[in-house]
Amino acid sequence: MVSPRPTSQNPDADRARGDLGRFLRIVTHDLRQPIAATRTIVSVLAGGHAGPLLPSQTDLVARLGRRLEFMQALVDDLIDLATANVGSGVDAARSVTPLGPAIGEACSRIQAIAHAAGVVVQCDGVEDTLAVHADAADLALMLDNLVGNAVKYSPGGRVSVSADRVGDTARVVLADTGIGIPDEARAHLFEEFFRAPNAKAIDPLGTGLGLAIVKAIADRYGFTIGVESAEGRGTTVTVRLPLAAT
Amino acid sequence: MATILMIDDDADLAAALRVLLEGKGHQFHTAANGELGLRRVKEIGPDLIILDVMMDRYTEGFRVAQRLRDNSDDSEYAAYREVPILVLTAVHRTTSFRFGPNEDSLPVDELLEKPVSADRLMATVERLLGRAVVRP
Repeated sequence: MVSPRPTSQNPDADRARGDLGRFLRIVTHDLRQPIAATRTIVSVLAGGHAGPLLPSQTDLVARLGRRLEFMQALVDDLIDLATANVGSGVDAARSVTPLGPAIGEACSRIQAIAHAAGVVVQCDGVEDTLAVHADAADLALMLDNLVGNAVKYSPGGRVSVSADRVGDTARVVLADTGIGIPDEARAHLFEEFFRAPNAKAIDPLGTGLGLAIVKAIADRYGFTIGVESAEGRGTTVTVRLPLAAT
Repeated sequence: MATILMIDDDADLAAALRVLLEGKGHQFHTAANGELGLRRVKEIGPDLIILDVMMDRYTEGFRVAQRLRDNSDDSEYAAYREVPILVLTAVHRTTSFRFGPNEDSLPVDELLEKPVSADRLMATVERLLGRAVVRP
């Protein structure tokens, strides 16, 4: 059946989440669903199920598919950004999520994409007693974006994720051997729709919302994010999260 | 070959699935909402139901699945309780709904999130039909 989300004691926050729910229903039904249906129709065409295609038709259908894929990614990221900004209503102070499994699951989810891109992902440097004050869904969304970014911009390279305890915080470190971040792009990294020129070159169809989603979640929970990078020499992202008592 | 019923308000998607499934020799029927879908179940006795979630109402597909899988003795759909249900939906990402055969989940056999590729859909349909008792 349906498992409802818990509600908080904050009427303003609950109202914002009500608005979010309506927004998500509209976006899902009026934008996401038609795009998704169109992608299936294109897939039927591209697979030759409606008859064989000429080479020129195959090319145009493939272009159509890529455009639709971008539109879907944009809608999905907008849904994630809206969710990240408002939250699920779970009280962070009472919500405790083990960090090790969350990182392990994020790494598992990215493995197929990493394998296809020739990226080796290592997530074995995680202390197994760490738990943080965060909703599991928010934590997963943040980690998926961070790990996904590291993989996307490290073609043929390596990504490592580790976590340890530093004082009363958990320190998560994501290090990659990827394209790095140009100095002039550093200040704009977490802005919505910003994309560094070298990132665009690798992935022209990125939405520029991944790190904005990460920042929205971090701001809501009071996580801090540090970025060290040099163009062409990789990037290290460090996130500090308040530890929960275990 | 099997009789497949698609309950979905997206006529364009239904047209694509008709091309795909009739191309494989299946009989393909459609219904544009839950009420019509339940009526069609009784009329054609499908071997497989492909079910959308968001139709006229937000969770309409859920109601259809629950009616079809109702375990009470006097259920008017008792004869169709074992018909495999494949949910095809775009709402999975934006809800906390759970799908699957467990007691605390929506009682369906399989869930595919839209968009689904033609190859993946066909593989899932054939697998579910392999478990179904297809009428001659």
